[in-house]
Amino acid sequence: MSVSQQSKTTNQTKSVVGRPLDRVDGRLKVTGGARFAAEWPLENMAHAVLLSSTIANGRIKSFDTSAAEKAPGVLHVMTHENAPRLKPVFTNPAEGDAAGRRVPLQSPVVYYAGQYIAMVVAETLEQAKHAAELIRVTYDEQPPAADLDKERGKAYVPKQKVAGKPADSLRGDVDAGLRAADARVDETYRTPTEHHNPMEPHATIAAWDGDKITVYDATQYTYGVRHSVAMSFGIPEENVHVVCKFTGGAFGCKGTVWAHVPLAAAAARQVRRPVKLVTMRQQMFANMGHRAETEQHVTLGAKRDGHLTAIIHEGISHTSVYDEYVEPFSKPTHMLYACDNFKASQRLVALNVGTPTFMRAPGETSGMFALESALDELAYKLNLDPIQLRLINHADTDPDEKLPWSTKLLKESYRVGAETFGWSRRKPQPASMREGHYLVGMGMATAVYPVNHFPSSARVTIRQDGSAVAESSTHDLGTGTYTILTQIACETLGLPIERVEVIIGDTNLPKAMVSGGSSTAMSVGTSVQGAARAALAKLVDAAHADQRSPLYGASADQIVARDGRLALKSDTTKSETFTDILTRAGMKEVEGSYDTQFNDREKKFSSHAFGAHFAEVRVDRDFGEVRITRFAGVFDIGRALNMKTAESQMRGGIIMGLGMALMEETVLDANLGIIVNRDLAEYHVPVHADVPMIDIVLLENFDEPLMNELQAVVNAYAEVRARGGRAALATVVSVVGSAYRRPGARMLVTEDGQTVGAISGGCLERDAVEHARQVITSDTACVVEYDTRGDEDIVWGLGLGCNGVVRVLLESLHEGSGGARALQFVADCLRVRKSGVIATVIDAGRAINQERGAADQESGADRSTKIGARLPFDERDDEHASSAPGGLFVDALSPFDESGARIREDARVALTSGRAMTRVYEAGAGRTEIFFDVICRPRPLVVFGAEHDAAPLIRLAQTLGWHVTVVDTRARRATRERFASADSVVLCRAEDVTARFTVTRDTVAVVMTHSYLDDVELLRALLPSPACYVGILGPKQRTEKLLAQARAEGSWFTDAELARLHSPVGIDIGAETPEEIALSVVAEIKAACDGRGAGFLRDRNAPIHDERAATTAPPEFEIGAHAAARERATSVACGSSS
Amino acid sequence: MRAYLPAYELVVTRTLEDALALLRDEPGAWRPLAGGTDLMVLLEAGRLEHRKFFSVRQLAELRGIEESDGHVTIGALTTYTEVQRSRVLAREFPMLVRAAGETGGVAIQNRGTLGGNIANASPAADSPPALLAYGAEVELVSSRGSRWVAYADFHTGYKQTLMQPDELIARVRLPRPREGARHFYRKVGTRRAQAISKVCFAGLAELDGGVVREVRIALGSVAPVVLRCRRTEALLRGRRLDAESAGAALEEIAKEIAPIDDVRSTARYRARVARNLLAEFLAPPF
Ligand SMILES: Cc1cc2nc3c(=O)[nH]c(=O)nc-3n(C[C@H](O)[C@H](O)[C@H](O)COP(=O)(O)OP(=O)(O)OC[C@H]3O[C@@H](n4cnc5c(N)ncnc54)[C@H](O)[C@@H]3O)c2cc1C
Repeated sequence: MSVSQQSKTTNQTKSVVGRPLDRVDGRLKVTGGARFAAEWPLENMAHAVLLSSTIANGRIKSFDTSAAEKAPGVLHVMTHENAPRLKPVFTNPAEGDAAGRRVPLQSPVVYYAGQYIAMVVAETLEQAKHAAELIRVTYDEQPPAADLDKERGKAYVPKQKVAGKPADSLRGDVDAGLRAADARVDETYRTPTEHHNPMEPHATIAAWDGDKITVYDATQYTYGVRHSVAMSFGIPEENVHVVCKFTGGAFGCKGTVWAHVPLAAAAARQVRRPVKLVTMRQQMFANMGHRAETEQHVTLGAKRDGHLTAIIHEGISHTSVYDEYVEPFSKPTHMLYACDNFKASQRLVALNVGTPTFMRAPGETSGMFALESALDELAYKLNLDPIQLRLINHADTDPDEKLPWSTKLLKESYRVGAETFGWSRRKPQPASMREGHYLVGMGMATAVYPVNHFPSSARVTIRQDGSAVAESSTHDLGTGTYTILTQIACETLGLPIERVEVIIGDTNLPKAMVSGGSSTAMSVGTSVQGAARAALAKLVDAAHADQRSPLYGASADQIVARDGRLALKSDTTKSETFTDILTRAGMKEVEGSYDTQFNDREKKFSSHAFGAHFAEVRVDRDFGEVRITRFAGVFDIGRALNMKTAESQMRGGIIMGLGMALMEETVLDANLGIIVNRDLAEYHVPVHADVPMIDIVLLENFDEPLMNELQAVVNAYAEVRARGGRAALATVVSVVGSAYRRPGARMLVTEDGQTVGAISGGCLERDAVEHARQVITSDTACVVEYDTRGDEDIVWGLGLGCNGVVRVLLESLHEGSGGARALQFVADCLRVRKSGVIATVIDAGRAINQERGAADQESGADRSTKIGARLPFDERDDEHASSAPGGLFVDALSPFDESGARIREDARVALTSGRAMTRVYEAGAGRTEIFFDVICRPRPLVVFGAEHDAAPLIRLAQTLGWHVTVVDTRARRATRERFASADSVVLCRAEDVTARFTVTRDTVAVVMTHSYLDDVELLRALLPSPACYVGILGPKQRTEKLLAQARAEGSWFTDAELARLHSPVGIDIGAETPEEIALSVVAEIKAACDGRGAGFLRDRNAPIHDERAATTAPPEFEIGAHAAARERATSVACGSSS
Repeated sequence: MRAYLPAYELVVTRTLEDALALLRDEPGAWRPLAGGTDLMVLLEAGRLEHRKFFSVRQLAELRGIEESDGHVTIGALTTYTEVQRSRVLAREFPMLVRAAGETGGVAIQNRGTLGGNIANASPAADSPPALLAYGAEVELVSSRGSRWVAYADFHTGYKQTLMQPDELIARVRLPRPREGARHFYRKVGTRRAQAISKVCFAGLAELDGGVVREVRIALGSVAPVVLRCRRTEALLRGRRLDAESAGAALEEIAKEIAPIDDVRSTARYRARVARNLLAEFLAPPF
């Protein structure tokens, strides 16, 4: 009892990472306890206010500051005439004069409207504001350059690189590519100037102590502020202490140290008091960077079949007249699509504006808009589906870096997205979808962003009281850094959430780089994990060197940390708390540090996150209003450390995207050079009412709390690989007679004999493990036959009364081996919920080998290495066969083209029937036996209703490996949290169900909303849908009433539709509790879908396992498909009998 | 540029009489403060010359919604939230309720008042078109007494009204429309809340057997003032509503409005949308 309990809690601490944990700082945030930069209450603080230039170009002739100086409370008025000389801060050594021109209040030159020209320091904020108003300025004004169109003639080649690439890049021959094209797109795209507009304004509090200074700053980069302030004032970096505990949004504009920071420090030094400087929203439009306006020209050439023959992406963006920044819009175009002929070219136009900067995915945002719009134009010209066009031009390797991708689930993103969103309902003809006033459109686009990482450090301390603290100078911009670092530390240290504290945002802590470019989770997360491990190692040292410890003498790899204890892996009853270990050793704490370094020089992969966006847009045809009504985003971002914060990031990114696409636009007066809409009343970002339901799918499947066996095998192998171990895979490939497991059952065996999964009821495992260890040693593959009929039972010592012949394929797994690739394929199938078939050679006659030709003989290939060769097929594209993984096998069969084609046919049959099978092929003198194994798409169960009784049903279904979606028809609940284990949770009104879901023939629906009206709507929607099972909770009379009501509202159901309705739901097992009801419902679904009667097996005469082969017609088919399948099945029968 | 807050004075009078006395004794010096949703913005932006304010929020005389046989009377202090909660307004003046629901966001609706909206006199405000279409009258009070003026005459030019410096808005009176009248209100803007209208339309039509007995049409954001389109109305009044008369009205309204280009929209867009709004209002079936 106590053991099982312990293992339960262990499981919990183990899977902390990935869980949708609430923000650990959430309470502080909503109670006002989170202290932002401007909120540090320092004694004797003075307030500074900056005065902005009202002209955009010219010089200051004179200041009259006399009235300001005399105003109440004023301590100091600073202009370029009396400001201290501040030193330029170089961001790179080649910058030259630009760095000097960035220093504020050093000269009378005005480069842009809103530029700081004076600062007032006073006792109170109001006094400072008032005095600033009293300063009189006269200017020598010049007409500003404020219009990109007018200035385009002066466009120049950027001095700096464009996102690491030359401003002019060329690959192949674009002219030749365009000549070879059947279709061509030439389009110009413009994106406006945009501003970051975080909620929290930029704010700095500066407090000097001698020649040391503490700076409280709203920043994405504490160490950057430290460096910059030290340089400005010519003091050592150690003298600068920067604190930033919380950042209220940033989106790029707080990654750079802007002029107000050194000015606050200068003011504090001048008045010899702490000074607070909070910039005004209007000033943020001028002085903190922005996304530059762009004009982009995209030329695409393509063959009739959609293959791109040329991509040209060129254009201009603006920079300031005193400094240089390039909005790298051509960046994603370098690598996104496969095309031999590519050209990119960017130019800059200098305007009298502040210098632009990184903003919300610099380059991708502006550039992808142009590239993806051009692709849509091309799809239209070629009469191709936009997704199809993108699939045709899918880049299998990085065309620019010429490297393989680390991971790329882009095709899956398209597929899952299309399914989630209901892309099939899109009509390609423009304006063909209408709804009342509205024209309805559906669109999609590819998402891509590079994986960025920076060196960073962390420290983890385990304290005597059994708690721990993780520290790094990194930042939480509202993204969830506190939370994910807590999760990482907890998981590594085996501690519950409450016992781990995370301290960040302070340059007294180990160094972290800028929290930008989506780098923090990966960079700092790795450091925290490393530091936690280092601290743990010290604890282990203390324990195992101590004779009094139960862990005495154990080596580090024999010990695990969980629940605040160290324990022996082999015997977890031998354990000891962190507190005991430290107390006995007389240590108050142990500390570990870790510096994460990334070796980008020896880059072997190109790493990017990929994804796909889908939007449904309504345009009012009379009034032109654009409304987004549905949105789905599917992303391959690797492992989500916290499902909740990860999804929030995606959702937030999408909302920013909607803002930029529809509303956000900074308007610069072309004559005056002044930003007209410099506040949030006129610079529009979306409000809640503008944001539709957004479905987020993250394509990852780590640490599923309840996983099915296949997933467990896949995960176990991933772990073995990660630690560099070896393993073998055992797969049941055929069964004659009766046996506990069916073909396709799998078991992973590691070199030390550990197993995951099972191939029998326990009788074959022991022997199989022995064989498995042999194949690991010899690195081979073989098929072992177990005959459990008659007397041989005794040999295998089984008690289950199996009576049959079981053949098991055993194969050693190593990188690139057939088994490893098969597992990879299985993993992909599970991850993206698709079906697949793997064809495996389980016997290859000599004759074939002899005919294979010289090449194989040279490589020494023989019969045994041929066994285990694989050819995977997946649900949609059999093309998989011709791409890499199955290549080996196809080559081997190539002299026998005819069987090659038959194998493919048979694979398709297996896929459609959903049943594993073996087939023998004879060609020439050779004989090859192939096992077709089917990975079934997890059964999609949709549970409508999110009351407490849904939970057991969801749990049970997941144990069976089903894919569970919970639909809550009422928005009032925190459904996401309550049903965290469900694969997806959707909020949706009952009447919108069919619009929101793609219900397929294998969909199983259970209605349990407990709401009469919702149930009526759901029945109206679900019965006519293709769903194979519709169960509804409640007594028969209620269902009759529901149906009567549905009919009264105009619905009409066929007998076939009514036959799918199960009500009352479940089989008769006397179920009472929600758990029992779940059992009865799940059993009924399983029986109904498999065409079984759900009676007692003892009353059944036929064998338990259905022996129907693929030759019998599979249950549910559309007419056409059905007939075709039958035909193919017949030909299989002929093929295998010959 | 910015306001120096300590230099402002705010007085809370006990009675309406005291408030009116302030206005009388120092004409032009005092500014009434209701919800403050317009005033505070101006104050922060440093665009207020006034240094003296008095609160009107505590004045019971300016509150409440009352029904009489021919009219519904709404106190100037009525907030947008109160407008939306009123049953009689929801039943008989749906355009006003709709306008209230589309004004700002929830916080603004809780705080902002109808009187403030009228006195602020923005040509882009959302309630005035509805008030115009309902043929509202406004009660102005001063220490000299009270007078009712037709709201259609109230706005005399950009941000100008016929209110005298010593007057306050006390109430708004709306004649009850006939049952079966057509009410059509539409705010057209970029985002769905917290956005100033690009164009705002309110139309009320009462028909007798297909013939227009009474029609009132008002538009926001297409002229220096919220505009009552009297010429377009006159063209329709007494005529059978059909494709021909509607077509004539569409031509007329294009001449009657004078939209401009600004940061929110263009004159062209506004003209076109105004026309489409009228078309929608006049579209069959009747
Ligand atoms: C974020 C935001 C969003 C907004 N959105 C909208 C919108 O969508 N549509 C819209 O129309 N408006 C909008 N407004 C403007 C404003 O909320 C409304 O005009 C509101 O009705 C003003 O009422 P108030 O009581 O707050 O007025 P106050 O700010 O108190 O006063 C406004 C003016 O009216 C005067 N005044 C007030 N009461 C009286 C009275 N009884 N007699 C005489 N003069 C009086 C004041 O002296 C002042 O000049 C918005 C404002 C903000 C800040």
